[in-house]
Amino acid sequence: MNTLKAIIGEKELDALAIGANILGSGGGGDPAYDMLIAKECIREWGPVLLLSVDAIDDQSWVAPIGYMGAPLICLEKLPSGREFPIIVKELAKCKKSIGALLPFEIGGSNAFAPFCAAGKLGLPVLDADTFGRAFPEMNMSVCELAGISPSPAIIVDNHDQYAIVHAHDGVSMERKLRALTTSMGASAAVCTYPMQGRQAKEILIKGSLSLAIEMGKTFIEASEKGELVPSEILKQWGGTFLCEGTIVNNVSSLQDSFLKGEVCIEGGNRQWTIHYQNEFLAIQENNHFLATTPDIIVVFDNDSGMPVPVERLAFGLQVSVCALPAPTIWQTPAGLACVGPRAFGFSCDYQPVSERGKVGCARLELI
Amino acid sequence: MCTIGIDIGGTHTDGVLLDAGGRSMAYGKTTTTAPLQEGVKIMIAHLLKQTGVTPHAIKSVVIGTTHATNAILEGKNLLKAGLLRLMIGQPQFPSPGFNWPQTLKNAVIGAHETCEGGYECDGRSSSKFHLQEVKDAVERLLEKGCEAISVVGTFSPLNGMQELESARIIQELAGEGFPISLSHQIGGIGIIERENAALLNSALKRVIKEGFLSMEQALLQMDIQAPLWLTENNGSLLSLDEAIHFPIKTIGAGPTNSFIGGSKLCGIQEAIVVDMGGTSTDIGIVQGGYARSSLQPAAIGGISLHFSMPDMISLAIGGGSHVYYQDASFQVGPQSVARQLKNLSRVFGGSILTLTDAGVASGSLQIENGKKENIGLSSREAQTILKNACQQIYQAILRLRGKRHELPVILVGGGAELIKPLIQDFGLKGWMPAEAAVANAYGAGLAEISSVVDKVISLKEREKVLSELKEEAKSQAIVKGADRNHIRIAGITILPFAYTSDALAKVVITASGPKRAFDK
Repeated sequence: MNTLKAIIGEKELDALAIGANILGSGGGGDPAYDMLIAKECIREWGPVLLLSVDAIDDQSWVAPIGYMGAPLICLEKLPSGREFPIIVKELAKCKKSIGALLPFEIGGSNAFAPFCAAGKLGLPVLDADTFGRAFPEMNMSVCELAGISPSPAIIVDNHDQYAIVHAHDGVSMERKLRALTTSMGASAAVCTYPMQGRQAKEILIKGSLSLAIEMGKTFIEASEKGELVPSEILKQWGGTFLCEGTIVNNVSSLQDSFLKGEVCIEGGNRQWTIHYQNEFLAIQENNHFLATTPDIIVVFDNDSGMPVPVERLAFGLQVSVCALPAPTIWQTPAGLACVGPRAFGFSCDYQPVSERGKVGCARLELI
Repeated sequence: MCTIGIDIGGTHTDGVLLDAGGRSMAYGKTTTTAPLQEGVKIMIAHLLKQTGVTPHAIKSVVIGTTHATNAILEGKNLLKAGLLRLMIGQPQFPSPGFNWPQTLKNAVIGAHETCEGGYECDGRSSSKFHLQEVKDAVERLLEKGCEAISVVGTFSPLNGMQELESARIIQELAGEGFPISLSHQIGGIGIIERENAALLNSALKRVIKEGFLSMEQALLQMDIQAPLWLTENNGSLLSLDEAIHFPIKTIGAGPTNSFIGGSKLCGIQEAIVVDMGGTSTDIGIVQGGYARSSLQPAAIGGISLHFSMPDMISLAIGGGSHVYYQDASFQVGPQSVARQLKNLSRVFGGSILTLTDAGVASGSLQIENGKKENIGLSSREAQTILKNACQQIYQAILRLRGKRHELPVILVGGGAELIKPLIQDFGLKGWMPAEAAVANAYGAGLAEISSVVDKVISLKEREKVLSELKEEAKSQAIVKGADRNHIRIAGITILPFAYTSDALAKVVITASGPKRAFDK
């Protein structure tokens, strides 16, 4: 029996947009358009049920969904709205009758994908995701860690053209989906790692949607009261203040279809460098790392208090850099092998930001 | 040679006469009239008389105006626009104007049609674009009584062909001169904001045409043969012709002009500028002599647009703000008597207590023939009221300033006198320039000519492509009338596209320079 957990309406989506941006760690794409679409879907088909993972039937299938592609392309090519119904129909043909949808990625615009389809399909949304933040590759998923098969994956463009893909493992699947995405005009709707309720209960990162919504609500309440937003968020979710200063340089380039770069921040006589690949991956001062993936590095704009995505890093911007702890599954040796600093080519070991000493607590009041 | 800078607001028309070095020679303030050119003529005659400058010495007239903004905010005199979407996959959501305020949506959007069309990011056109479908859609829009049509296509900033073909069909069916707005001529990447801008642009075509078409004629009547310019939201110049075709570009120019004007009047490149008008106070930051633009997408009347707008905080506190006694203290705003100040406020014989009344009662403001005895506030009460208003502005300044404690504050606008306590009593370092009341007109007079190149292009040969684009931006600005010796690249933004095979990137380059002297 399905236990209703919460009802998601337009107000919750406003909060989700902010929380998803924070958990996006600079990546995942701006959810502005997806939020508009999700809101109109809710106006058309009514509020969406958010279901706790434990409430799903063991035998029922769940579909982690979202979009692959360049965030900038999504600012021009609007989804047709037929993509996810096609995915659910095709999964049913594969004897996987879907009982709930979930975002494969909570960070950024993908957090909204299930809300753009749930009402039309009459499905609930699971309060969970498979990344716990945003990551650049599909296989950087707790599903891969748990050994769940990524097949069958279904990828659909906005012309109702689609492919059903079977691959041996997540890395190989990621490569194929990436090539298909490019051929589909650099953005496509995707479902991969479809799984049953019993697997979902074991492996998914639980509560990520309600976490993002709570963060967003805290943010909105704090900013309405004229309070210091980042410090409120850090206080409640165990985050750490890392540094504060002005962006003095930002070098970015496209490598293997990833947006890679380094942004330089200066404050007082000190200088910090943040490395990014779609998302913020590590921050260092000279040769010393202050925080690394999988901890969630967030850059806040000092003026508006808003989290700044990688695409909006601009010279002269005054920012505060903070880190939130990674989901615990990513802090295990297996998790770190998949998404730790070495997996991204940094020659350092992961040290949880919470254990690096209270670097900035005294300065937090300044934010 | 001289320049005249004019600001036409909802209430006042301000003017400044600038000499060749950009210094103010004379300035003045008069009431905004309908039609607009009457007030402008009064203002120009006043400036010429004060200085003895002859009409032939005027080499350009620059007008900043909130005319379009006010038309949107008041929802008046707007054309009913039809929207033609040329979009890959014919998306259902978001529907046009989905998150607009309902009244504006009703006033602006007459009907909409979606045809299969548009382009992919690599320039391939949608295989299913058919002119017959467009023709049928346009016929339906016209049948529904649309008075203008806006066309928006997927990736049209990359290739405007389909939008241009659609415009040809619209003209065939609706006749020459039927108002059309093509999104690729109005905005860059970001289809919702571009669609919003194209819709508002259509809606505004009549109001701007009526307001400004006879302006050139009015100048000629005064024997001024100088070119007429309007100012754009980023503080640069638009020709009259451009402004009539693209009225949406004139919105948001007001605050930019005040901020730049204020900083130039004080000769300071880095400052916070506070502009108090009749109904509101805008607070912005000037960096390197330019208004700092906002990171967040701009919005007008609750509609998001992707224009670069100054980063600012607007408070509903102005010279016309109602003042009332509640909960044992004086409250200021948010209601305002706005353009009724001279009928309704007490110092002018009315019955409503306003912030201007408090200014007069406190002694900080003098009004000729004002009925000071009618105000009914002690000087102490009046000072408390002004302090209360300043306190709110002070909080906003602190928020905008962040940790840049050293930034000075410049007070401008018609209400600048009222907020002098910010400097006297709140310990802020700053100034109120003599021409504070006309800083917006002064800023308009100093506006530069700029040109923006906004393209999605392959950066495989990065340096070569970038330098070509810079030259393109510069030569466009020179064609528009910028001085080739003083032109500079004012901004470059490069946004690489992931998941594409050709190192595609969105590149936005702005070139800017002062107006060329026309006879040398």
